[in-house]
Amino acid sequence: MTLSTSSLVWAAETSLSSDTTLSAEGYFVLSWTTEPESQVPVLLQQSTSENFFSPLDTTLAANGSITLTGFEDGTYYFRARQEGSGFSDTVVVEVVHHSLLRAFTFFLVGLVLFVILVLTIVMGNRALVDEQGKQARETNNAS
Amino acid sequence: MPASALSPNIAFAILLVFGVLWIVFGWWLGRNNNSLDDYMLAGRNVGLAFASATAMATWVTSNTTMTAPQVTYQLGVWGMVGYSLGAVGLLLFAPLARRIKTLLPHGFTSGDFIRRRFGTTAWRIFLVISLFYALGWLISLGMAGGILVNALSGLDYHLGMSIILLVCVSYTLLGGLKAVIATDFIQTIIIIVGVVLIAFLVIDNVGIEELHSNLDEQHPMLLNLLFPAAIMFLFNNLLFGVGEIFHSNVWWSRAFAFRQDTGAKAYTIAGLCWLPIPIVAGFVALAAPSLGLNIPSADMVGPMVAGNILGTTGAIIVFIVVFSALASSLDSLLAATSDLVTQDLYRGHINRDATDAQCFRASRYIIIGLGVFTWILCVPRLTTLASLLYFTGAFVASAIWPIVFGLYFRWVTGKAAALAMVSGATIGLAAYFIIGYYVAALVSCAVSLVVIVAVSRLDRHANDFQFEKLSGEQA
Repeated sequence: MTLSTSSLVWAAETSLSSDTTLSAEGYFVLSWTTEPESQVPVLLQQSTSENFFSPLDTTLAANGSITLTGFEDGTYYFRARQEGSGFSDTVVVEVVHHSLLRAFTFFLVGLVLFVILVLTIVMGNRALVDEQGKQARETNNAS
Repeated sequence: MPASALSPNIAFAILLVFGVLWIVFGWWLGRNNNSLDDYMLAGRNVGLAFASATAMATWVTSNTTMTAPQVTYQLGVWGMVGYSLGAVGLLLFAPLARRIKTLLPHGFTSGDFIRRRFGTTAWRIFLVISLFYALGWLISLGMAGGILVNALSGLDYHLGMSIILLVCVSYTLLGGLKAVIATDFIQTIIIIVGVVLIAFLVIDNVGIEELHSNLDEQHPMLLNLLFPAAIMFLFNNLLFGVGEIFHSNVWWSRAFAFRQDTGAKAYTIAGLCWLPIPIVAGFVALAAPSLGLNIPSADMVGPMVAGNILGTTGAIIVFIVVFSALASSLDSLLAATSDLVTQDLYRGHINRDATDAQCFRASRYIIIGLGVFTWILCVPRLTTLASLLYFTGAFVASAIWPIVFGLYFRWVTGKAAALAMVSGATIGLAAYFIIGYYVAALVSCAVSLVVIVAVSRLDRHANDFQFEKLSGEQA
């Protein structure tokens, strides 16, 4: 039996993790490390398919993290590897945005609070101006 | 990882040159400070040009230049617009500044007003909120300094953070509020010129069409006007900004320091001038995907994009602009927080018979103490800038109605104000953890409003307060 030389090459292991598995805002942070540590760049693959059909590839530094943003609702699969090594375990992140009903409810509450605030300041200042005017007239009448 | 835009040596040289300049300037301005009024309130006689510049420069913080890009990178177009709604706080404070100066001609701090208007319990709750916010903001500024230096030049986070804190503590200590306001004026000019240059260079280097198509393909939610979290963020950020400004002694100390007719105009001018700055800063972040940049932490996106596309010259401009923004806010916050601690904790609780001379001496030690405490909390770099900043939103937004209603209406009681702040802050914090940072201030403000009105209306002593009580000398 002969052994192929490639199987004798020490394969670096890449570990990939995410700060969340469920995002309501469409952003999250992926972090990776390689064992042993090296300066060889890491290839990050992203796909909406578990089998990584038509993946999006990004080349990254050997060890670090990346903040990914702007994702729509859906399930996203990520894996990473260094050249010549096998892929890490797959990390799955599900993006489920808040409902528009919830979003607009908060928006309307905020709008109402803002209107009350502006009216309070306007009415408060107007009442002060009226009061100062009244005091000035009383002073004039007295003199 | 791409090479840094600036060499560590250039970054260090800029820090050194500007640091020495600010410290010498602070010493020179502070040599005529003879009284507590001089040191804390610049003699209560600041004119319109300096007043507008200091208001605007103080509100252009590292958060404007670094957190605005962060929220744009996370929440897209509405993130950018929502951040600029922070200008509303300045605009609405304009009429309040006039009212504050009229009601409390001998006042020193926002705590003075709360104590005289609402009594001791509400005052102590307010102090907890105010100090918690001030420390949160100080830490975010210190952290931003380290992150900026690291993102642009690779210089160690801890070194950059320490140098910036040391410079700002030094010139604030030497010069008091006069140094703060004078350096703010120069820093405002640097910020406005720098931001206009950066905007021009970004548009020139990254075409709008390329930027749009990249975002549309790979980060579609950032351009989506129906992005739910971003919609929730809009009024949350507006109310957060209002809460920050209405309660914070940074703005009250200026209201006391400005001449009688200057405050309202200054805050209006400052608000209008500030409004486009986070739009420009946020826009820079949208270029990140087109450039293929790996953004490790969202709060680094602003300086990383600017450094990448602007080259060394542009990176130097960004560095100086953000350093100026940092310094102009750190100094104001150090001075104002020191005022609050001196008047409301030292004189208010520890040494009630303290003379002005004793307070003058104490305030200097307090500035040093705040600097050291901030440095200790900045060392571990616990979270991102936005998460830290918006954590304080639950606290500050609960103080909006006690301040506003308390300034204008007699029917608000001390008990109502105290309960409004506690309930608003508590439920706002719950919302922060359960839903997200982009709703904490809004929830806190809503709860506070309901509680303050309901409890005041139930109190038979409502309508008793006489505003004339506020205008006397320190009680």
